[in-house]
Amino acid sequence: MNKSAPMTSLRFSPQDLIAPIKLALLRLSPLHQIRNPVMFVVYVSAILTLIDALTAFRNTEHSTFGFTLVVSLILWFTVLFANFAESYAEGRGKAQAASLRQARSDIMAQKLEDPANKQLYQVVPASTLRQDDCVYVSAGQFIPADGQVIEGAASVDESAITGESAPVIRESGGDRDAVTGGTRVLSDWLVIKVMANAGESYLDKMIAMVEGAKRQKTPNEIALGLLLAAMTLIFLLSCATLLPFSLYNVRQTLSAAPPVSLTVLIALLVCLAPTTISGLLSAIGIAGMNRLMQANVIATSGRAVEAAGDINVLLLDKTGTITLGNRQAVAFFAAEGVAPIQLVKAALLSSLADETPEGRSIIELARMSYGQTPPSKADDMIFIPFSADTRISGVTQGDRTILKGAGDAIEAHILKEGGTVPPSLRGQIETIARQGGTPLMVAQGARALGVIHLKDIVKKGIKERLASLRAMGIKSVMVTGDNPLTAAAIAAEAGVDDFIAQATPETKLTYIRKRQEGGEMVAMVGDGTNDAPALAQADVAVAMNSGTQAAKEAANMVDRDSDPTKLIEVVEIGKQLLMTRGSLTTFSLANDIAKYFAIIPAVFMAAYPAFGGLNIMGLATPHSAILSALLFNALIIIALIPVAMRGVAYRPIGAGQLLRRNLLIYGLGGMIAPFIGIKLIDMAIALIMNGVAHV
Amino acid sequence: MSFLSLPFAWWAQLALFFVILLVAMRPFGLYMARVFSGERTFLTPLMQPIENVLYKLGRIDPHEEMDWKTYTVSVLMFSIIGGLALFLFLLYQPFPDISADLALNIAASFVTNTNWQSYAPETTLTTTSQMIGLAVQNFLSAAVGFAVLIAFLRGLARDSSKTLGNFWSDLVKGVLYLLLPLSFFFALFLVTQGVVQTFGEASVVSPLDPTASQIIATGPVASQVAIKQLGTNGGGFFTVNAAHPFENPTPLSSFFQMLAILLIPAASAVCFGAMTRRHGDGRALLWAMFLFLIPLALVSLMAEHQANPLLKALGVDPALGNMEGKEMRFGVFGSTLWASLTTATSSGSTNAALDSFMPLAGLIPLLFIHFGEVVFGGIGSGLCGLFVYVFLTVFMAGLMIGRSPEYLGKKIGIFDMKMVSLIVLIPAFLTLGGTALAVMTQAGQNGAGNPAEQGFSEILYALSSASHNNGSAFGGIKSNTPFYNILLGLCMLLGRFGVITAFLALAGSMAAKKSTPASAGTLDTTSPLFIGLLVGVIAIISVLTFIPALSLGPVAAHFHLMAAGGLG
Amino acid sequence: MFKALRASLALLAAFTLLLGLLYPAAVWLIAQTAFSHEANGSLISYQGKIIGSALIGQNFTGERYFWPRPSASGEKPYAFSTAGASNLNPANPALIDRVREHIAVLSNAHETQSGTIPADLVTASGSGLDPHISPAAALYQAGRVATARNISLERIHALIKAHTENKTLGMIGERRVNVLLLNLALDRASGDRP
Repeated sequence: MNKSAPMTSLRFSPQDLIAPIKLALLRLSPLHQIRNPVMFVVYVSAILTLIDALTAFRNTEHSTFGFTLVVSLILWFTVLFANFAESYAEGRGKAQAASLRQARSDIMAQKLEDPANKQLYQVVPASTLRQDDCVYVSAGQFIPADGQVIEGAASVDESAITGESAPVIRESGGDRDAVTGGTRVLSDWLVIKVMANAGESYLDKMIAMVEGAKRQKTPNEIALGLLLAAMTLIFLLSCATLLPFSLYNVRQTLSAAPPVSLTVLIALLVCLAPTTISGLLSAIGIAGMNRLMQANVIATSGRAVEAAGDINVLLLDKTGTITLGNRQAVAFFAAEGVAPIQLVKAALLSSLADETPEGRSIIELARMSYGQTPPSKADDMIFIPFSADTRISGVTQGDRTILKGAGDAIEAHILKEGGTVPPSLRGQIETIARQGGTPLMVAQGARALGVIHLKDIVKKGIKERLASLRAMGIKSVMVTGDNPLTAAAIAAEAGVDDFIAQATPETKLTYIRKRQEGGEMVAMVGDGTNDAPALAQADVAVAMNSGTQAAKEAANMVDRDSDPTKLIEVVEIGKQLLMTRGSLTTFSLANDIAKYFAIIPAVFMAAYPAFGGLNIMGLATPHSAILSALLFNALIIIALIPVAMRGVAYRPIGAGQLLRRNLLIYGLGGMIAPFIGIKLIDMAIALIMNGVAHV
Repeated sequence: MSFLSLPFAWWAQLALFFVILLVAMRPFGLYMARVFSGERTFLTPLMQPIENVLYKLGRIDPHEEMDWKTYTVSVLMFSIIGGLALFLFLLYQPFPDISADLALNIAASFVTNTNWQSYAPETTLTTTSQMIGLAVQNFLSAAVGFAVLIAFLRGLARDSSKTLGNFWSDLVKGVLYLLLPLSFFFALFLVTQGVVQTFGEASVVSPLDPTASQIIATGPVASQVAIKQLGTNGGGFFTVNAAHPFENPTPLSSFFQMLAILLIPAASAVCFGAMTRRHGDGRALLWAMFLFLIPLALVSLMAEHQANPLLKALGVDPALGNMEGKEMRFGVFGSTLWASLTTATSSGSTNAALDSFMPLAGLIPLLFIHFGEVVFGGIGSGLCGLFVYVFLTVFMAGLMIGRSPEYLGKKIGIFDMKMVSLIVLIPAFLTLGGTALAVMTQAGQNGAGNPAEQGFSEILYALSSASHNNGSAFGGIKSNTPFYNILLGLCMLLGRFGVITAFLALAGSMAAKKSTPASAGTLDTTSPLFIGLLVGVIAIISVLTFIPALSLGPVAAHFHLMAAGGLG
Repeated sequence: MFKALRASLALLAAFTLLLGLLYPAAVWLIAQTAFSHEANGSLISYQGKIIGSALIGQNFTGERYFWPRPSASGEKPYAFSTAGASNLNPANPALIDRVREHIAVLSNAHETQSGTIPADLVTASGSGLDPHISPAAALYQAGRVATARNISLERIHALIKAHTENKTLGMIGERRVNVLLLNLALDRASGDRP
């Protein structure tokens, strides 16, 4: 059972490329290009240089024609590469979403005219279902849409969505009433109220986020886009004004050198404009959503994913997240005058029919510590099942009754029977509670035999995960129904920063509001209907797929694995998304330094040979320098597609260290890489030109 | 050429200068923070009554809080009224030869704290015009700039607030508690050095050598020079500005004028730290500014330390360095450091002819201007500008550590980035667009005073200086023409008020935000790493923007000179 | 809007009075009382006549006087109304020509001097009113003045030394000689006035 099995692998096959390439070509339409202002500048530049080249050809200026044509070609490829990055990422995302979508595309639904009458239905395609329609699904059929069970109970196979092979129970009322479209009813039947119009379900929203055209941009992405556009505008300004400056300069210095040509200016502009990051921006966003899907999380907005990176406070349920779902017996404490073995035997007897994990752990402890094997069940044993009312379970055999249960419940029973609880035992009960454990008292008739210490077992590795959260600057808060004493003990053991004890929906909501008023961003995981208000209030809310429809509606993400620690992964994905954008922007800008060293000498050397001194890369000719810089500029987009897809690695280290690391790799690396890259390309060009010359 | 070749006395002077500055700025900054937080200071008993009279006259409630729009409207209204009044005053002053376009240019120049001077004050303006026209705007434009900064700092300091304080109160306080007392004492100091302060007639000299006949004109110079330096205005009482012996008579007067220029901009960073209770962030900004100021000043010192190779070839002693356009009493050091300080700040005052600097030393003032006047910059506007770059840096760094960018706990959003982009774009657009317009038109080309690349540099410098509200010039430019008066006037106005509006919008947006408490995941904006990144962002953005233009100007001129001097 | 207009007009008027009149008047009052010499231009009288300002250079051209630096103040060197710099850039041929001319004049007048020419004697100052020359520039001219005045070179050297102003605190500014004061001392020493 692999909980977070990615739906598609990241392996590479040539077939994967054909569709994106086709799409990249199709997207050369100006309507598509204008959506990305930076790449639009490159697009227009490509057109202008092409016109320039054709004009040169008509005027039979062969040398100009050749150079300009090559420049134009490189620009076209720059645009294509950026298109390809986007369509490739999109292809990946769609492939992942397709299997899910396919599951539902052909489903027919039995739509009920009247929810009360299950016999009268009409068979319609699932895609025509609207919100609040009711459908009847019987054994063997697929559930046609996300919805809420309003009648019936059934076992449902959700493996298509969760990868979990064991069927789950879905029933009306309570916390198990949510069903997901595309899953299959195995037994019995359900009446389901559809909760989302076709095309508006979680899955549809998720699919939309991996399609470039429909993708809603997140605030940070818009802000970055703005910055990139502004910078391009500045570079446009400084390149465009260079033409009059150069004309003036040539006239004033009576230089014989020609002024800067349009082609060279365009080359300069494209090199300086942050094309690398702009070309990859869309792909980075899509890839982030892909990673989220691989983690088996469905998000309804990219904004929430980004917000996950900013979380300051994380609310975690104690049970199942911080501790193992069940408590375990760790010790027996006999009352004064009671032999320990007597207590153990009584406890064993009372737990024979107790199939709860706690009950089993008592039997296990008796065997391990006292070598007691449980006696076999006898016919005269009458077992008293646990009930939430009495909070007592036990066994009656003949005239003896052994009971075990919560301290106060058993005490009440003893008092009723006319016995007393010795003070030492009461002290023991308190000690256990203070240590975060649950004391279970065992009594025979009116006599208290002793206490069993049930302990919450903190999950392995949770402490480390919480510590790494702290390193990210995220405080963890444990939410539990336990009393403050118990909660504090477990909180200390697990290493959470804070806890909410005796939590109710109201206390959770108040806590979140209070944190938010302090300027913090709060994330929480929930599954029950009573979590819904808190989920709606939290900045990032992840609902368990196993949770109720109300919880899912209130949340902005659904974890299909129903893994409460998944939020940590979501946080990492959110951070990765921002880091990838930031790092590639830095890289893109840092590149400009080397490009200036390539192009500025090439532009001005004719008039001022001394500018050749700036040609520290020793590039062969002005033309080859410009072409090398441009080619580097285009190829780097392709080269960085894997980084965009994979994302910049996040490590839970402090902000300062993280910044240093990324600055070193993408800032310093961004300064150095183009020096090497441009030089290599220039050498290659020189080699080719020589070859041509020799032929 | 190396740092080590610089004379020891230069290093000693640099050290002395910066030590005094560092010592003086702290108490001033803390004092400023007290004044603008409405606390009592030692001047309150003296100034409070005057304040109250002013409020009463203007029917101003100094405690009325303004949102950013009201604040902006007040700033603009006050500046428009001030500019209009100055324009009319100049136009109808009893001197005949002032054209409407020149009056417009002067009014724009002084109301924007630029103090670009395309005219010769000696022959254009009456003493009255200088005193009650220009000097008053020297105070007021500086106080307006400072008020904008204070509003900006409130924007950073406040949490979920709609308002930024009261402009009128900030303006009045800036004048009464800061500029006026400082100017008063500084003016008296200047008088002791020989700066004149008289309403007497000009003296006709009976010279020792008959050829040396002279008429010595004077005026109320000390009072005007004091505020021109303290307010980073820079407009001279005389054409030659601080090179004039009556404005700047001794090395000591020069030294203290340099300190006066830097005092308030440096103290502003301290004030920021105090007002936001983020002293570390204030220090970080100071570090960033010094990291630009000192190395670049050293580069220009090295360039000027070398004599003009063409003169050396004629047999001129190179020991004094490049002396053309410099006063003997200041020498190369006193003139070159001055040039760096007055262009790093938006003072624009000059005590030597920048046009005659070696090309690389002329490049440094241009660079300082192109950094956006954020290395100390103008009073108020400089630090505001630096915050814009801080936001840019925070934006990049924030993304790089995987968090929505935030500064002082406030998230930088889409609107903020729009304003940031505008603030970076406006001066760049005015500078480059204006220069392009000038070199493409006959009227513009006529302005060039020097041949070859230097002519281009002069035009570029003029547009840069006006658009960034600096006011200094490559003095050879002939800019008292309708073309330049109007073009530069517009650049100054747009460069000032376009940017101020965006500053205040940004301040309003910041004030409205909720401040997030810091955590381990928060970017430390006081670390050396961040300071380094900030320096890098400022350098890369401005250098990338202006390098093509600078290449054709000072850089080409440098190569030209080296080639001509046989050194290339 | 109207509120802002009213406040603007009122404050502008009040500030014009305060900053445009009261402030300079206050500075003037104290300056004239306590530093009247400096506040009025550091004027120097000799034999009952104002011969100039100690801060402002003059265009000495006579053989008997030390010469100041070239002044770029237009037609009339060291004229107040047109005071200014040459604003010629280092590579400007006009600058080179001008310096060449000056060198010719200087070499002609100081035939005994053979070494390099002090830079300040051939470069124009920023103000066009520079009252100072470097000690080297004074020494360069010493021989000529001594011959013209027929006094010993040692005497001249002593006068130059006496009129050399040092750097403030040993570091601020340049060592320099005030040409007007030196020439005045010369005249005083010779006891004459042409």
